[in-house]
Amino acid sequence: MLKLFFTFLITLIWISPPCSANTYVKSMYSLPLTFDPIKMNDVASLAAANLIYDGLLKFSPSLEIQEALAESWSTSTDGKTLTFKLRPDIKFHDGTPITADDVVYSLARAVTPESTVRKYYDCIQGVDEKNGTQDISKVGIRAKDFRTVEIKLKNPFPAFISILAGATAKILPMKYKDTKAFFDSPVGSGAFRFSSTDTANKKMTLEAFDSYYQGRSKLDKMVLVESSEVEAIKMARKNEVLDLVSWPLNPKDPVFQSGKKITSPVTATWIIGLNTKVAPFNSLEARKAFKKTLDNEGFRKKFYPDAYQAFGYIPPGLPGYIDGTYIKTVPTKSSRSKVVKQKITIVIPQELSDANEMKAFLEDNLKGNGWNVDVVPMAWDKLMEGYAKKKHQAFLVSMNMDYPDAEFLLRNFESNNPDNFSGLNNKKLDALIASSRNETDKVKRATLYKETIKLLDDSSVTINLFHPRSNYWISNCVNGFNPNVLSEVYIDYTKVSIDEACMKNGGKI
Amino acid sequence: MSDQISIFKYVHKSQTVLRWTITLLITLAISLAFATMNLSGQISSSKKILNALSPYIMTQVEVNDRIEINRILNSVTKAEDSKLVLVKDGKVFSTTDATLELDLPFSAPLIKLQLLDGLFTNNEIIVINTLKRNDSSSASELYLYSPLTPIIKKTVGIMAITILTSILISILVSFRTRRALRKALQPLSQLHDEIRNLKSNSTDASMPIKIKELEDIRQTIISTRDELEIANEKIAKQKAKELNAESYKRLIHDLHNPVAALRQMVRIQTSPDVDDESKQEALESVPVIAEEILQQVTAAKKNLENESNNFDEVDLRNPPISGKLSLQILNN
Repeated sequence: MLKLFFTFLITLIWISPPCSANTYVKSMYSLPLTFDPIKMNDVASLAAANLIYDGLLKFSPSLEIQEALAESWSTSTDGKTLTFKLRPDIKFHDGTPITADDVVYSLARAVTPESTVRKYYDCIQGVDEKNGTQDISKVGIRAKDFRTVEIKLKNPFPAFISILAGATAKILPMKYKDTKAFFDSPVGSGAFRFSSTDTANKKMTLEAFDSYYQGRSKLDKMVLVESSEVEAIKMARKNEVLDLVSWPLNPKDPVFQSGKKITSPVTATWIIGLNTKVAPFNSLEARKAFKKTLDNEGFRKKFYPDAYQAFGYIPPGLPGYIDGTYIKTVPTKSSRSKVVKQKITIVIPQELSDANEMKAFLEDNLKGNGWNVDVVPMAWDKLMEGYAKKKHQAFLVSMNMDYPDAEFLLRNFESNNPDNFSGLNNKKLDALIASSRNETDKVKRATLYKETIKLLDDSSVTINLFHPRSNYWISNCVNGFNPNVLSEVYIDYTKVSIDEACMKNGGKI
Repeated sequence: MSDQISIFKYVHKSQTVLRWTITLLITLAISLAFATMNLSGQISSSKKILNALSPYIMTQVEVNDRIEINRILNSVTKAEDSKLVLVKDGKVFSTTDATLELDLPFSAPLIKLQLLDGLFTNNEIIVINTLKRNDSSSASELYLYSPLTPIIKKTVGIMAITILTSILISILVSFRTRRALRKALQPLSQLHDEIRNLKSNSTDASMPIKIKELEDIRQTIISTRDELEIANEKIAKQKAKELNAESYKRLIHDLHNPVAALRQMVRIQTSPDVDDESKQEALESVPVIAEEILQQVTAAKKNLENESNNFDEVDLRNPPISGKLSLQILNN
């Protein structure tokens, strides 16, 4: 009898569909590297944070700024004071009510010296732009009452609202401020609460938050699964994962035969970044020569033919975008005298399905022109570690816009920005960025951006490969999926549901 | 007889086609006018929106600020329940529709009709504005799509209301017409009664009719009746005269023999050649003959009296069969 029972149980497990009916399994190139909003710099962490946490504001799919935890906000006539009114009856996952003090605490963390995102908040009064500010009492963020928060800026800066809608301005419970292991099991107020991490199987489980202010999500659970692109595609074919949003798929990838293809522009630029602190790229001449040699258009056509040619650093649809009439970059064979013999290592994410082909392409292209180049596929976390520590000579990454303003992309190249991956130190560029920040006239601002881009291009710290067009693979069983033009980070999974019948049918409609 | 209908029904029926035709024509005219006004208003409003938006949108296009354009277009279409698409260099630069269309080649809509400055597809009205600066070679286009369905619904609604209203008015008019007809026909009825009374020789009082023409007829009928009565009398008198003459003639005829016989008896009495017996017989027959003559005269007198009365009662309006006078009294 017992034997029969176990046989039955095993059969039941065996015939169960890969995903239970209302559990959304999402494949990612990496699990979140951190749950601390002020230390996030990678898409996986930002995407997970957007599920677990909430901010005062949020982005709609078309980048309209909408209320989130704040039910309303207002700006003073001089543009320097922002006042936010919190919704009543909002709670953290542990049931604690969210108050203005929690908001002050969370935003104040963002301006501390250990914050890697403080550059976005240094417009707040009292914040030291170079080193950040530890003493919260000096910072222009305060709770006026239980539900009202006031933020004072040094100067009017309309783009700051985008920061508060972004992935780093998340509200944390102040009561855990002294809990060291808080981020091992974070408590937020987002649509999903952290449940568990299975390090061995590289899985993280989130559960729907019943008291979410917008109403409970249609999904009961989300499971984030770390894998390579090749593994992710295999799982997708078997309907074991429900989207491949993390992966920049080619539109002709065969995986689309077994699911839905949702194509959308996304504000990003794939680049090969050059580190001016590491030889030979500490030489402008070397960087220029290297940039001229690399066949970026060939790279685009081979690997991402539906992506847009990148003439500048800023993606299309943003002030500062440059089309082909402004800068013409034509790969030419450089004269041998300009080629540097020193070995150059370009690191690329090994999780890309075409990593080996990309390696071969780049090496062929550059070696064929006399460069001593080695392309190294590297695990993403290692790549990001080297990026943060500015150890890589050159690296292939997608620079995603965290906020819909070119300001935040260009700031990466400010001399005093800790996130300046290139190590570029150009005072003129710094001045241009500062001028554009203070310019209220949009046309003039766009002109300043273009001048900044031109200067950046002349500095040759990035080789702009292309602006991608995302081709998202979505399971046939998923309904309500809506991409976000800014980034996959902001995809709203609270609107997503799963067709149970389709799941039972193995992903077939 | 079965094909005959009352004048009331005749008039009423003859109005039906006209009534319905007018109802339909009014409905069509009003609906068409409304639809045209509505469409024209919609297109005009769309044009104004585009003209108002264009300068600001053009600036945003020049600085390539798609996000700001998206915000503006979305806020406009929320209020207008429509769709806006900005096309730049043949590609969708901004749209209030699915963001999936962004940066893809723009598929121009299939235009079925161009009317009143607007372009019509199967279910949308499209108004286009070209954004171009004088000193610029490139141009963008702003498309405003408005759904046709609400206009159609409104037009159908107006049509339905107009039909209902027209039907109600038509029914009301019909009722009033019927009442007016009935009232209008009263004089005819009255005239009819007059004529009937004329035939039945009724002594009911004749009331004047309000309709002039009918009153004239009534007067004519009355005067004709009076004249008929007079004529009747004359004829009666004439006839009486004739009958009297005829009676006298008969009397004379009837008296001739007995008077001749009486003369003969008198001759016998006075003739010397006749014997006494014959004379006695003749004398005895004189009173008999005289009695016969008296009877004849009495009968003739009686006849004359009866026939005169009978002639007085003949009604020319209702003469005897075959038109012959009855002389039955003369046969008595």
